Amino acid sequence: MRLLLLVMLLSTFSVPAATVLAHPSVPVESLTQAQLRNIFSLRQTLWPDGTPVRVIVMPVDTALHQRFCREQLRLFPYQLNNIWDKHSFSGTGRRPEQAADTAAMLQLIRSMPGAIGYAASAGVDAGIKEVRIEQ
Amino acid sequence: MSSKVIAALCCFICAPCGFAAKAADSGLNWNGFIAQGLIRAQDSSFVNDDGDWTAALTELGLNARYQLAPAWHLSGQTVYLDGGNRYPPGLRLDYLFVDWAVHNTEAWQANIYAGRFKNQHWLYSSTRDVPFTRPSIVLPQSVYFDSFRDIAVGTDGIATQVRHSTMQGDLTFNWSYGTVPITVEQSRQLLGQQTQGSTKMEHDHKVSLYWQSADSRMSYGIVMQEATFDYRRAGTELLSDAHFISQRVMLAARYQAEYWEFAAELQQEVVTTEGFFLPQFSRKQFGQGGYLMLQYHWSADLRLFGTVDYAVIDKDDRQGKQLQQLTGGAIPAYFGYQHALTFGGSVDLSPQWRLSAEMHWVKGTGRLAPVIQPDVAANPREYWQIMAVQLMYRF
Repeated sequence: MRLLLLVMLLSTFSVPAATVLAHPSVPVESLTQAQLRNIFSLRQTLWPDGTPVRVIVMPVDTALHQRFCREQLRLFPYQLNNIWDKHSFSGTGRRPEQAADTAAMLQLIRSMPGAIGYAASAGVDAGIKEVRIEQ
Repeated sequence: MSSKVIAALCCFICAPCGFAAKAADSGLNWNGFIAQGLIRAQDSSFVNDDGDWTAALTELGLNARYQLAPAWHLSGQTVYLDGGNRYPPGLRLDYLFVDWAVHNTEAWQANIYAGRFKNQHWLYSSTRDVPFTRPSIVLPQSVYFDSFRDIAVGTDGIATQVRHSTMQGDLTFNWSYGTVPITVEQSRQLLGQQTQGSTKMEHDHKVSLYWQSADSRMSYGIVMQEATFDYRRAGTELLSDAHFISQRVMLAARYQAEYWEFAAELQQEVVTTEGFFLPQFSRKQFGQGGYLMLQYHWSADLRLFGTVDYAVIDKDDRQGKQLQQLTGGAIPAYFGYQHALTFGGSVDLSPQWRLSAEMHWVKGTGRLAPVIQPDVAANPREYWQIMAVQLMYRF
């Protein structure tokens, strides 16, 4: 049992924490956790300057997405998935774009004005800005 | 009207197929689902009249959402449903509406919807036909009464949703007003297969308020709604013109933990009938019902659930004895209630495929169509069961 707990603990920390990233045109430098949850829950669909928010996520079964949901959004992954389904199948929103891997995530954020997504800390590069999350 | 609208929507929905790869850039987004199952409701006319296994568990849907401007969207969905006797089979324009984000900031969001929109007021009402999004193949009939599906699922009119986020949690206010076209088949399913007149809804008015805790785990809601209908008899009928009023108050609660979730909705519905059987006939019934549902997420791919469902047609006649007496024994007492115990589960075979199965043990037939003139001959037993298995695919 102790070994199992140790393995679970190690596997959790082996996934790097997610850093929130955005297209340089996004007119915010920081967000609260509640604001971030509103954005990824498809509630806030416009940035303060009126441009549409474009949410980009990793595949829902990836460890990074799961950790991002729990730690940054304070949502269980299945809750977020249910919210997306409710919006996309009742016509009140669209499911976020899905990036297959980190490279695709960075490429999508870089090429799409209004885009917001996340990646492991090491993935930040030019043409993308980091959004600070206030706890 | 509906065929033209459906044709227009088909063009709207099929358009993205040719350039789906550019969907992200063009502001166009589309989704769909295909589900086919087998269902058996032994000793009842819930699905079919012979109580045998049937494939009348088909649900197909295709939807699209197009961005007209940053704050304006057009959304539409067509579905094909076949649920046997549960609701008239066929193609439906599920929704087609304009969505205007009137106000959209970090703390406040307000949207106005105009057209045909889904019922956003109950926990599972907005996507009750989307197999991936509902907790069971057959939802608890106390609240999600299948014979009322076409009337309860959406409205032609105007609606608004206002959300406010605070440090303590989120508030969501929904309001909708409009009407629902009722076909001859739907009218007969509700009132009786022998009826020949026409039913028209005057208005459908719903309002709801939900609160969700800051950690997103707990939600509470209250819903109030009223719908009024007129029945115009055919010239040859012995029945009379009628006016029906349905008023429902509902409480909803949901708790979502990491591995399990609990949901409950309790309702009281007052149904006023004036006319129909005789010109001077008048009746007011207070029906009650609700369900408790527990879901357990065994793993990311496997989910199990259990539901207790309870419904009575008249709260002052919970055993149906007065119903039997008043009809001289023509309608058995068990048409005055319907309670059910359900167990089931679903497994995700892949992100696109899911297999669900469930078993219902039911006591009573009070939630079987038709409502006003029950089909006693096709439902001779108080105790009956539903077994269902369904394979679904999303894209």
